[in-house]
Order: sequence, then C-alpha cells, then structure tokens
Amino acid sequence: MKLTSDPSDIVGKMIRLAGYETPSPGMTERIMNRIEVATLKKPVNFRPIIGLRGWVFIGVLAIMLLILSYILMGNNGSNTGNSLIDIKLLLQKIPVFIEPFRSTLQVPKVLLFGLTGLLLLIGLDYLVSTLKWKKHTTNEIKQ
Amino acid sequence: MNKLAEAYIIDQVLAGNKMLFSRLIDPYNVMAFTLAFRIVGNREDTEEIVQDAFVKVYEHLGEFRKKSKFSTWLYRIIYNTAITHTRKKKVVLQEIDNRFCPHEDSNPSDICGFTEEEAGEFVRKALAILPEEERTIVTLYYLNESGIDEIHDITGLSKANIKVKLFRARKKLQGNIRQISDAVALYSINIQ
Repeated sequence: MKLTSDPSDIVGKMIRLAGYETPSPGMTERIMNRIEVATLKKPVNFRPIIGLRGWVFIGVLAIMLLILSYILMGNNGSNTGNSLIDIKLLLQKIPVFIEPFRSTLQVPKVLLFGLTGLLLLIGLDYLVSTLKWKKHTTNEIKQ
Repeated sequence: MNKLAEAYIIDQVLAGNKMLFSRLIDPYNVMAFTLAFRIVGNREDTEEIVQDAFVKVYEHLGEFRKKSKFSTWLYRIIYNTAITHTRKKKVVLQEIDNRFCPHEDSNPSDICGFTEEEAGEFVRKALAILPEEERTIVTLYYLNESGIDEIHDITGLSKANIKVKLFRARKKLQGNIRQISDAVALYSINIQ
C-alpha cells in the first residue's frame, strides 16, 4: 500500500486497514441472557378496572347513601314510616346507631345492598387482575 | 439481511418470539461493537455498552418505524448509549504509545514500513486520539460506508457539522500518517 495524493483515499484505506473491532465470542448469547433477565425482572403494571379515584368516589357515594338511607328510611329494617322531619324519632335512633350490638339493631336493606355491591366490585376487580396475571406468566413461560 | 426479512423478524419478535431477536442483531454485532469501541476506547466498557444498547433496542423495538433502516436506528442507540457512558465516566482517551516502533524484520513493501497488522494497530491508536465525534464519523463514513444523511440520523449532528468534522478528522489522520512516515524514515537512518 502506498501513500497517494488524495487524502480522503488515504484515510479511507487507513480506516479500513484498522478494520472492525471484534466482540468477544458469545456476545449475542450474553445479550439474549440480559434480555431474558430484563424481561423477567420488569414489573408488570396492571391497571385495575376501578382506579383509586373510582374507589374514592364509590366510597364517598356509599357513605352518603348510608347516611341518607339512615336519615330517610330509619334503622328498623323496613322502609316505611320515617322521615327527615321527624326529629324525635331521629334522636331515638341515634343510640341504636352508636351502639349497634344491642339486640334492637336491625340492618337496613340499603346498607346490605350497598355492602354486597361493594364486595362484588372488589371481587370482580381481584378476579380480573388475577386472570390477567396468570395469562401474562403463562406467556412468559411459553416464550 | 434484506429489509423484508428484517421487517418480518421484527414483527415476530414483537409478537413474542423473543429468540428471533438474536437473528436480527447478529449481522450488526461487529459494526455496533466497533462503533461503541471507537467512542469508548476500551473493550470492557464497550461490551457493557453494547449489551445495554441491545437490551434497549429490544425493549423499544415497538417504537422502531420501518421507514428508516433498522441499522441506522440501532447505531443511533449504540451511539447515544456510548456517548452517555463516556460523558458520565469521563473516560480518559487512550494515548498513542510513543514507544511504538517498527521491528527490524518488518516487510518494507507494507505501508510506511509496517506490516499490515502493525499499521492497523497504529491507525487504531491514531484514531483513539481523535475527538469521539470525529472518530465516530470517520468510522461510520469509511467502515460502514454511511452517507452524510445516515450519519446525521445516527449522531444527530447537523450535516454541515458532520462535513466539517469529517474534514478535520481526515486532516488529523493524514498528519498522523505523515508523522509515521517521518518516524520510519528517521528510524531507518538511525539504524544505518
């Protein structure tokens, strides 16, 4: 190889002469191992069906419903015969509410329905999240 | 690997066939390593950087737009990872070993009196003292045969800047080559 007057040609020849840097053997395998580890370590972020805001809203709504049902329908298990205006009756109910374990306590239907609904929602959220997680892990193992 | 085959493999990897990723990166391993090495300057860090970069490539493969060349996108990630690494670590560039001198049994028909292997070694050392961007540009331009547009896509430098840096790098390397020639001539005189 001789030096020519064209500088770019010389540099080109020089660079080509220096050639490539060869990685150590098995680099691809090491990369694949890294990828394997990286993908396994990666936390899986499932978005719940009902988010935090949703739960707060449901909670507030449930409490409001509970209070309203208590005020409007009373605490005697039936939905008749009480109203907000009846303060005397309302005052009579308060001790029952404060001391719920007295034998006189009767759970209002609205409260029962509300609690059942909430439990159903929690259960549904848990069930869907579990199914998604199982599907994800199965795919990971298959790969 | 042609573009269609590459696109097919990318789709397969994205569909969950993780193992095909090795086939996708295999053809670019050496150039990727060379590019990173030219920026970083030592093999250990280069290995680490190339591995990190390939993991990034895998993780972000879904973001690759098939309009551009896969290699360009890949080398851009390699380049950015290596640059970030050098800026973090402030790697001290390898200096030319001044003790380097030709052996008496060198083949005189080779470049500047060196054997091809020796000359190659010298060029690698000469390259190492260029600024990292110039090293990258000359490597991409001459070794990968990338055009100015592709170098611009990989490095993010402006085309005018690339041309300037390429010109400077050529001049500096040419100067180094002259220095070798002079050193060889001097060495020969001293021996006689």
